Amino acid sequence: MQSPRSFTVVMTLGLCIILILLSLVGTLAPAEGILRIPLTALEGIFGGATTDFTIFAEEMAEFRSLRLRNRELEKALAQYQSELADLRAFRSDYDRLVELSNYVGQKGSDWRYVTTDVIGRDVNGVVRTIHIAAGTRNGVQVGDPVVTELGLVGRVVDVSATGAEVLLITDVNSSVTARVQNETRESGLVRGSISGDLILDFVNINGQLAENQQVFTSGETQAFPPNILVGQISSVGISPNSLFKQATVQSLVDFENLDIVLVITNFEPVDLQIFEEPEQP
Amino acid sequence: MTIYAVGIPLFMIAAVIDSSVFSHLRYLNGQPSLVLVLVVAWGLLNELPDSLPWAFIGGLFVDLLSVTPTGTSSLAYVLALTILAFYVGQIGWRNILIPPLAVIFTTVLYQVVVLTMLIVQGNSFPVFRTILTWTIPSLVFNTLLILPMFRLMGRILDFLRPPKVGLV
Repeated sequence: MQSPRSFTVVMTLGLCIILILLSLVGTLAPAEGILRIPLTALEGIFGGATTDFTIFAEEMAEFRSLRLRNRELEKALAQYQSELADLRAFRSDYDRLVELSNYVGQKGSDWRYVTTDVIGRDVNGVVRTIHIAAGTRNGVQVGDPVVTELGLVGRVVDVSATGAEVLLITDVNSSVTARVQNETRESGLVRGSISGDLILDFVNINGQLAENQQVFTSGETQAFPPNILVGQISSVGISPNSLFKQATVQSLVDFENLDIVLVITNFEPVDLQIFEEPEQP
Repeated sequence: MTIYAVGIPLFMIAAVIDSSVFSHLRYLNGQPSLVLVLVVAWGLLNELPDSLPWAFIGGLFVDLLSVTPTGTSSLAYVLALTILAFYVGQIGWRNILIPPLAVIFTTVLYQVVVLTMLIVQGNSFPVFRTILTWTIPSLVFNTLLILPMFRLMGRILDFLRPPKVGLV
């Protein structure tokens, strides 16, 4: 190699390494936030157009099956309306009992939501994150839970003035403490996998898990609020070490085609630090 | 100066297309990477010192739209172009096999660097499944994309730097 050429290569590599180190320690965060603003705006334009086109193409492809599906849904609706009437009666009893027992807790109706568009995804295939068009200007903070009307989506891991990055619950490094809605109310940990499936793990080996049981957040680690739908069990098995029951959970959320999500901006985890044991000197 | 006026918006839009358009084409965990393909094409059509700034700038845009630390993709692209310049310089890029082989090499090197950086940050990944679900589909996508992008980049460079002519 000629020496000016080697000098350029070494200088560029050195610059990359310095940037990585500064980014890892967080020194670049303000600059990254500013540089992301035009990129987020462009993502909004491209993402919106792509989502519209995708939805249009899918709707055209599904048009024939929609009429049949509509009939099935009308039948199901009639059945659910009668169930809803029963549940409303139960809800009324529940609310009265809550008032009588002076119960203190967090209710879904207490949450304040920011509704926003999904404008992009992480380009690294092994990381399952989405980019949303709401940031600190809209009250979004790191750690805020993200949901849709169909259930839990993930939580905010990075935020700029006009956008945020959300780690999906299907990411391999994501985990959610959860509770199964059955008689024994089994608890466990829902974690993502490299294939994007959700696995309910660490459930008591004697737990009575069955297909179609619904799984909700338990709120035990205070990372997510309790009672948000995670999905429903699609298959049950035993963990490789035979110590726990394991189940595959099917979320109702279509993570590949998310277009609008809700960010819960007023979720304040209960501070549990006071209960932690002090470190031994 | 014209080259920067075209190059910076080009790589910026390519990074946004990767994140907002090509993410809808994702198969398993793999998707096409327009920035990577453009960096390779630019690298093969230019001398190394002329192509390194674009590898650096393209990588920066990718990292701003990703969870990886800023500079990670730039490092991978710069390393790849440096190694490619050494070997391709001996063969010549006019061989039809060179662009696909170069993009395969760059994709693999990029993914190794990104995974290393994510592991350094405390993430963990099953190696075999990652290769199966991320590397292989990405290689197929990028290999399909390189030949049309290589031609397109050639046209853009011809436009930006028309060949010099003179009277003999």
